[in-house]
Amino acid sequence: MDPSAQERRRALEKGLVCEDPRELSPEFARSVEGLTRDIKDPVERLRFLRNSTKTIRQLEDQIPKVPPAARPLVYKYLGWRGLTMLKGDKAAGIRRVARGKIAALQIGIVLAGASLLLGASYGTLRLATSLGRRTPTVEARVHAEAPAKAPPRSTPTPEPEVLTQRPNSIWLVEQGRDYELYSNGLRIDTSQRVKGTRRSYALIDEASGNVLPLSSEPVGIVFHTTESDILSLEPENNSSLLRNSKNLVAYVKRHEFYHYLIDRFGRVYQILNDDSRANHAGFAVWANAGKVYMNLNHAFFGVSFESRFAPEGPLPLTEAQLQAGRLLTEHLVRRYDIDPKLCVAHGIVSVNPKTRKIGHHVDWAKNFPFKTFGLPDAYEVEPASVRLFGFGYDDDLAKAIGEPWPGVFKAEAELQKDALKSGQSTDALKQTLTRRFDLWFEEQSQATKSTTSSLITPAPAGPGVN
Amino acid sequence: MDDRKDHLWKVQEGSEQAAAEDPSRGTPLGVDVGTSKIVAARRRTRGTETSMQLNAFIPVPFSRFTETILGQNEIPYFRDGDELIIFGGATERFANMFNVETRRPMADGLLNPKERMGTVVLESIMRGLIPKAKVQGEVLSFSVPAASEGREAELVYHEASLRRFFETLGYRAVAINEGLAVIFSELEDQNFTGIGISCGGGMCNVALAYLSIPSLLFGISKGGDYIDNSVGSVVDEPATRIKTIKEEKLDLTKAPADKLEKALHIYYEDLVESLVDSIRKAVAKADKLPRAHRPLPIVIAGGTAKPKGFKELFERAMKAKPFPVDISEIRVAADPVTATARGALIAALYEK
Repeated sequence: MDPSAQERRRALEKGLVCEDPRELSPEFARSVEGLTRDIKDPVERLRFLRNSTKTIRQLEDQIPKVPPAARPLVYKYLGWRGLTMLKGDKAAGIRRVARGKIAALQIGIVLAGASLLLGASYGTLRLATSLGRRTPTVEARVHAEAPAKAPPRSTPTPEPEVLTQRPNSIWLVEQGRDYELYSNGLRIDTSQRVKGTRRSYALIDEASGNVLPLSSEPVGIVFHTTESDILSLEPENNSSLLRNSKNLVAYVKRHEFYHYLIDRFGRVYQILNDDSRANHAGFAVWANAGKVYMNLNHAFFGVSFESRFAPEGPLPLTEAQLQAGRLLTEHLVRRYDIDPKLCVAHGIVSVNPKTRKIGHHVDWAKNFPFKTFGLPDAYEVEPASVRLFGFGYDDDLAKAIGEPWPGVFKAEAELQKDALKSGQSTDALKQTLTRRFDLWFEEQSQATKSTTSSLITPAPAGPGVN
Repeated sequence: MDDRKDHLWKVQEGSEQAAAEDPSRGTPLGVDVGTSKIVAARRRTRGTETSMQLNAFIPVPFSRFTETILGQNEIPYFRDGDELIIFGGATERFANMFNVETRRPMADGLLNPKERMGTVVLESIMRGLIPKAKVQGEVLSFSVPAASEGREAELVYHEASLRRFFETLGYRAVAINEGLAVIFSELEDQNFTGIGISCGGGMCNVALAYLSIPSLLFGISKGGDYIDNSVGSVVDEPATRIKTIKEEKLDLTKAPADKLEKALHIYYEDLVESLVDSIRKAVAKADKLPRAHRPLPIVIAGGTAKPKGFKELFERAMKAKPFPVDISEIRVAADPVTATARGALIAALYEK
């Protein structure tokens, strides 16, 4: 665009000159107006309308090629896309819903591909291509979960397998005042790192119910999402993206919420040093190899992604976050000899002891890309909360994530078998098991308290403290 | 489900709080640079805050005594040779006291070329109203009138002068048409679709926008000053005094009680008829009107629209002849004096 055209565009934006608005058809107006109802902030409403009209102008030469019947759908798509660009925390819900609708529509477009080939006009195809090109890339997709592509018509030359070199071990390559660089490419920003309360925890032997000696070694990782405000990755959001990230790091640090935080650009911040506990998963349960962990604040690293959990649609991570998360996991697993089975998601370890329900927090209760991270699928593992302590779930969990993860069903099936064997009802067995939870929880807390005061009892607030 | 992620909502709230506490984040400003008043608007936690200052000045002969009195009474002034230039809110009081006319840094919506001190006074008034930007490059949106025929070059100079001044305060200044600013502040519920009119001191500005995009912008060089000067000349009173009476007690719904009120009614009717006639003609001959799918609302703002009965007068003028587009409602802004500044603020926040 030449400078004079740019100047005119800016003048138009400010309302200093007029532009022919006739191509903004009533159909388009009705469509976008229907979407503005929930936008309470006048600035965001203005932003939405301006973005939508700008987009429709960019496509004005292609809109006439779309069959009239399909135009309302195109307008709606553009409207939803405009909604994803809204700023501010108050619009988070609107953005989320719009992203979901776009994802659903994109799936629909793929499914309708065949009918497009048969019946739709060339113009529609061109428009669909344009829309696809201009869709903001907000989420990264995991290769393992990517939808299957349509088979090519001709036999393409197979791309040679890309073999990269990986170091056999991971070592500290370079250490600066504010960073650490590791041989696998992981770069950790340590400028915000603080020393927290020293890690020290007790765990329970599953077979005997005895409290085992205190330990201070990290044994696992719990993956979280921050559930903070998420903006689409667009150049115009740059300052807000940076500000959000900065504020989030400061907040997480102030409350000692996680050991590591990975922002939207894939920057890994170490918040607490590795010897400290973090307030990330207090009321949480996991078991492995005969050992039961009943408060994961100490034993597990808290690694959080600046993101919002989404039970459906694309993975709520950027490509950069995905890559950084993998490298960090690899580093922690190797450095501390962590059993990969103890790398879990917050949503599947979180419990509410009062209601005896699982999934009190739901972040990553679905869709964590364990396979991509080189980890076993923790969703397939019977959760100790259900299997050992008889916890259940309610409609709220179903509303949040749909069906629980497969391990829950497996654990429930095993419980039913146990109930049959012992000649009691499943409910009665569950009651017995929940009493066991109370007892073990208390024993574990007391054991820890006897040596270190106030380390085990979960704090009243903080991430993962249910 | 709301309580499930309670701690994470705290993360979000904390992020917001931290952002609010961040001193490196400035405050966008909306400024209505009107012929009669300058109004600034900024967003605060509990809503929009506005402040205003009269855009006028009066020179008085310099004396140490006068200077001391002005200083003691905290009346803004500066010395220019053998004169003291009193500006802002106190100007009208002095003018009425000495039975002289106030002078204006601006005329007909633009910088007044006949006033040597116009730019200096205007900048002095605005300095008292607009703080320096906390953050270099903070957005400030200021209102400008539509270009009248033959005055395009003057508008360019006016806009550039203001922009440069705001930039010296550290802002990134963006201009917005007055009428469109009214639409931004008053027609949010209609998705910024409709006709916005700013009836100011120097002129009346009209914008017709569709989904926030302006499709018609124009102004007429008649405003509150036209009424004040015309009435002043027929009743032989200073226009400044007419302005005070007009703003304090004019009620256009009541029959005029004296010659002055009668003159005010006559010139108000003349202004409104001219305005409606101009809109009617502009809309009728416009070849760029949007295909609106519902009748358009009209909202009127500006100090000249403040007297009681202005809306009814406007409605009568509208009904006198057919109007080229369907109108859903006619209303005066809840706070007509600050509407343009509030609209400019929305533009500034959008530009941020």
